[in-house]
Amino acid sequence: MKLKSKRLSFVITILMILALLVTACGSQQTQTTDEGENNQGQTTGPKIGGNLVVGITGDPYSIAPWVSNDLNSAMIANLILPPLMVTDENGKKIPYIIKDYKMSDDAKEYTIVIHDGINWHDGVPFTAEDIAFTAEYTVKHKLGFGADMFANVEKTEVIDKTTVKFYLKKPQVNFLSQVGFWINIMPKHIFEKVEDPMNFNYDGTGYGPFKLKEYKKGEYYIFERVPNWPLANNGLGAYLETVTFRVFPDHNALLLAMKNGEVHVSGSAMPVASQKQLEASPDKFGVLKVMSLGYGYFGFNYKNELLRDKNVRKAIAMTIDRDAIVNTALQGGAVKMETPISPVYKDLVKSNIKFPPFDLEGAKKVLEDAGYKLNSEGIREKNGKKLEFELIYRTTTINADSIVNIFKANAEKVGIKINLKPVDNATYTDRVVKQRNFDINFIEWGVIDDPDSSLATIYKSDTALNFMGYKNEKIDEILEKVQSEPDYQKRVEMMNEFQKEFIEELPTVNVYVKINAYGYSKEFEGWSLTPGLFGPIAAKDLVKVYKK
Amino acid sequence: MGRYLMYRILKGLLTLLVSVTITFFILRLMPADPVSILIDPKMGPEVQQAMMKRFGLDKPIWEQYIIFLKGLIKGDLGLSFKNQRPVMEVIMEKLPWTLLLLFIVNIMLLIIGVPIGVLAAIKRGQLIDKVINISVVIGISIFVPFLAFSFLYIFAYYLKLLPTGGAYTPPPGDGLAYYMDVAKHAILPSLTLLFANIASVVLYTRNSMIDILKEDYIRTAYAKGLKNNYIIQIHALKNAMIPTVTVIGLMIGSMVGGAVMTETIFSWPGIGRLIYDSVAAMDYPVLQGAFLILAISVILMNIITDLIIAWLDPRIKIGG
Repeated sequence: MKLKSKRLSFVITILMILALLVTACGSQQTQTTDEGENNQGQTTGPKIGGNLVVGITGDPYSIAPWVSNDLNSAMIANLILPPLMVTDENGKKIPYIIKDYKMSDDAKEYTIVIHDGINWHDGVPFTAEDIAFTAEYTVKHKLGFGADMFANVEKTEVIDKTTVKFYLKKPQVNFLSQVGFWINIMPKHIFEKVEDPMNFNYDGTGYGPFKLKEYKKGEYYIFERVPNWPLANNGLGAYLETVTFRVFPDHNALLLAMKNGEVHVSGSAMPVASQKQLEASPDKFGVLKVMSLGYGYFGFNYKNELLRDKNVRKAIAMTIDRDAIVNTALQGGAVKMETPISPVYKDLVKSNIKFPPFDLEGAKKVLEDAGYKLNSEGIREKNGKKLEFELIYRTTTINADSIVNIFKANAEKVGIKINLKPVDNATYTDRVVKQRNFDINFIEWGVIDDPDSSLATIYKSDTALNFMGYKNEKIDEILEKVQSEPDYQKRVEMMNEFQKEFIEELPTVNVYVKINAYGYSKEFEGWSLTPGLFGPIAAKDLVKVYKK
Repeated sequence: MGRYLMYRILKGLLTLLVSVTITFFILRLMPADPVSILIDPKMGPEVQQAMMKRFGLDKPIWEQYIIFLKGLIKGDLGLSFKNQRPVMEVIMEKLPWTLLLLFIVNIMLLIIGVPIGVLAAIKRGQLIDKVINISVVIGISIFVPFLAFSFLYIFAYYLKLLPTGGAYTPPPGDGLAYYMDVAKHAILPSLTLLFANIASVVLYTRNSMIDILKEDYIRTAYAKGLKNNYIIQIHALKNAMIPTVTVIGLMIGSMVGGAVMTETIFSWPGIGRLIYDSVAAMDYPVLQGAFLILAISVILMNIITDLIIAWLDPRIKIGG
């Protein structure tokens, strides 16, 4: 036993030595990085080099974006398989991998020309064949978004190495802006032999400015620059030598790693609290901000007899205090949305068609005139039916509790009782999306792009995402027609008509547009971003980033 | 001995069957399904149906259960909904990280917790005993995430001595550098788990030590003129360890579950973190697999604990 206790103290000593060693190593490492920074600090301007670490919250489902549809997979895929179309500063789609395109007047034929000189990372040229193949393959194997977005294709014709022509079954003005923005092109020379893409082990061969070097699922993904990638920095290729993605479980862990210098940029949009922490050290960190492509809204279920009354919806709309929601609940991390279409899309909101403004007295009057009288409990009722509704929302939406409480407090001031129903994601999906069993719902849409042509997916009466069960023939007609109107100006006018009708009908009241914020380290420069999916990590923007 | 082991293993298997069955049905009782969680304006109903079919969710639930059991017997836990990889592969990638963490924590529990418990027992009623008791009660009641964040704040952010998360800095290095890197990353999560669990070890050791020190044979040993240390280590500790070993054995099972929070906060790529990510994605097969591992570890630890106790206490006759 004596011997045993000696062994024990031996183990303890070893452990202590180990601990000492570890701390010693730690401080040594910080010293070397400091020196490195000093040396490099002397040179300025963009040059090749630098290893950027991107932090993301949430694990990409797969490196093959066709078999997964989560944002993180799409983000890492965007570096190796950049989209044909990207967004400009107004959220409008512009060509990227595509050099040019032409849509026929009937919006049924698209001729697409891609840039010359792009190769797959294994050396095979990237051609029009790959695009045609992707269209056919995603439909055949029912792969994610591609299956639906290419469903309208009647025939594909490869004209030459860089030109491909799509013939559509029916007119669709947003065909290319949807397909080009959402679908990553597949390597034909690899996938043409693959029968079962769901179980195929895709190695990450792409055509983008970065290629996949190595990865460990759920932990890290390392990309390295492709020298002389033609579309970046006048044919020089991206500046960064490598880009490493590290996966964090949540925003707090990511923030801490950034402040600790382990991560240089956040690939996931950061909550306001995190932004403020980074903004507190402006010498070390910057925060890039851009309006999101989605928005937060309250929706009314038309199955509810009382909510079917336009006056009730109007009164509720007038109780929504957007200033309080944006400034207090969202701590300034959003902008007010007073128009049915998001202010990101400047052309579409020039008409300035607005929801009824915040006006509690006005709301009372609307209800009074419509015959809803206050009862002894302070709740309005008509024919014995009380204005009492359940508001369902997801607890995972950041700041949702504060938002719905502001809503509730104001609604109750005019005599509408609101019962809050916070639920988890799965229950929300079940109640709202599947069963449509709710009175009022609050939700944030992630991305509603091409609103001049694609709002049919949420507001047309027969679509799956019209949770409201809302049906208006005029709106249905506009949303149908706009999809085949080739002239952008005419579409804008049609959407103005839509908005006029929308603020009369109020199937939903749209409240705010989130500001997506991405923190970055000032050790790197050249940052930029447009309203889009990936913030500064979009391939088109990341290629311009360089180490100071 | 052989018969006893056989009996315990059979009982363990039965427990396992009950636990996988409960897991299977509870997961499917959750509202919504993995496909409707993925609902998106860009994805039509046809594609969604194709996904349901691919996941095998278009079949009635009892049929899914039979398929699951058949797979289980063959050691096939199915494919992850999230990334189409075999569940076994996903779990085996994460399991070593959790085991490493638990190994470190349990070794530390023994070499730190037991001596502290013994010390408290010997100095019973004195100041040091009171200090130990109070610290241990604080340890038992502290909120684990709070503790974890405090450690992160102090050691990673304020002192910048240790990394904030992960199990190593990507890309992983080679040889010794890699092991040192992992050791550095393991310090904070193991400290957190150690703090959260050390109380039981200390208290059990202390209490059983106090009981044992009152026994006649200890008095006899003193009367024989044996040295104090010798009595404590040889006569008392071995017997006092019985409840402590039981507690540690039972704790290991719950620690795997308790690691969900610690692993998530420290981005440790183990089973706990896997459970956290899979719940969010409603990845039934991975969750089933992870809970199966939890069940197996609890059952296994129970058997092993029984064996160790029998070795410690010859009065317990296995299979007797």
